[in-house]
Amino acid sequence: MPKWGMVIDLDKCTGCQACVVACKTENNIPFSTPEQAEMGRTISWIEIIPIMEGEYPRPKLRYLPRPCLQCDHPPCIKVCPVYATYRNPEGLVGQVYSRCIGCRYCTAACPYTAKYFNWSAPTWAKEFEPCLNPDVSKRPKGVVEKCTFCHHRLQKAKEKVKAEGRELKDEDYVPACVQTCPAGAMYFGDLDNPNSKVTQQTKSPRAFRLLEELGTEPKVIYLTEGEWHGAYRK
Amino acid sequence: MQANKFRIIGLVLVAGLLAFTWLRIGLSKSTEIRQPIRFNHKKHVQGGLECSGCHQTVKDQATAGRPETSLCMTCHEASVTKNPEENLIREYAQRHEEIPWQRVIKLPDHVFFSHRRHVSTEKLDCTSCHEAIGQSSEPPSRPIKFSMDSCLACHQKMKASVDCVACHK
Repeated sequence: MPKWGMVIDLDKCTGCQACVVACKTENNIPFSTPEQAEMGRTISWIEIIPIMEGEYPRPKLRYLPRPCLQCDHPPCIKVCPVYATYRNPEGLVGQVYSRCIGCRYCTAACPYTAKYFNWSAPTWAKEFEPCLNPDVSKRPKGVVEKCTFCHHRLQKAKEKVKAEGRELKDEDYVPACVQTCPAGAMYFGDLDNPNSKVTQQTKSPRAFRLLEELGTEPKVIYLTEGEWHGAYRK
Repeated sequence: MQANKFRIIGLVLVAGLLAFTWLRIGLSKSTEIRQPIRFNHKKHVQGGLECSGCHQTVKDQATAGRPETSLCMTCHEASVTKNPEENLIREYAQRHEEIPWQRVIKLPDHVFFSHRRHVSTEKLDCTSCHEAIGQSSEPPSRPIKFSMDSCLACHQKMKASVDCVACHK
């Protein structure tokens, strides 16, 4: 069974937010209002975290795109009292909205702040309604949601390859953010396949995992030049 | 004193029973489904039509689809039965209106079900889930409900995925 993983090359990322927009459109994530944003209630399954360094006249700005890291040992699933979040056989951390009771334990437990609580029922402008993705639900008020690595795309890919009578390949299943990235900074594939591009990338001396010392074993691996590694670990 | 107590209990019971009956009648009326035409599945199946003859998207889309008036008219343009209901089809067609078929099965928003996946890919027969609808001469008057247990029982039997996110979106 494949183990899906993502590699993000931080040296290529320009912080353009195309992945954020693609994700929001693909996964029916409602627009935030300035009031909600001020209260920290904006939902963004993938977030570009800016890291500022240095001072004028030589400031440095780096960007860290952060989806759900789909940990192999996810702290969020250990605290869920109702099995609404769990690790599935392919290593993806699932979120079942109809089971979620909104206790937000998982939101607090996630060291990467990748989980979001729906403080209000989602609304869209009437003109936007036809653009919603029918393969993804509109999450109701009071449940926690997060990036699923566009799991619905995996379902479709599996159906397609079965109809064509062949095995699933890496290029059959790509999340919306990876597909959109104009800088080509994101890679996606099977981490269990030694020949896949993502597995090759993880062997790079530039590769590191976010907050590795926590033992969460995330399946999103970042690439950056050596001198920057330490900064991301803070 | 004791008699009074029994009288009060009796009154409460009668009131409760009345409220229950009233609620049931109200609920059953609100869930009742009245189709614009009393469609006879049995007659169509006996006439040699396949399910996909009318539910045309069943093999290649998530939803099976309900027939458009123009599709009904391919057979019913001229009278093929003595049933007065048949005239209704032509009336809708003359007014260039679609027949407002009512949904009898409505999946919850958090469930994803694909007919294509079940019918085309897995080669399941329609009766596996829809049982005797093809043999009914009246359209169902109540919504048809599916339980997760029946889905899971089949998924376990057929060794299909029982992962939550395989069906829950």
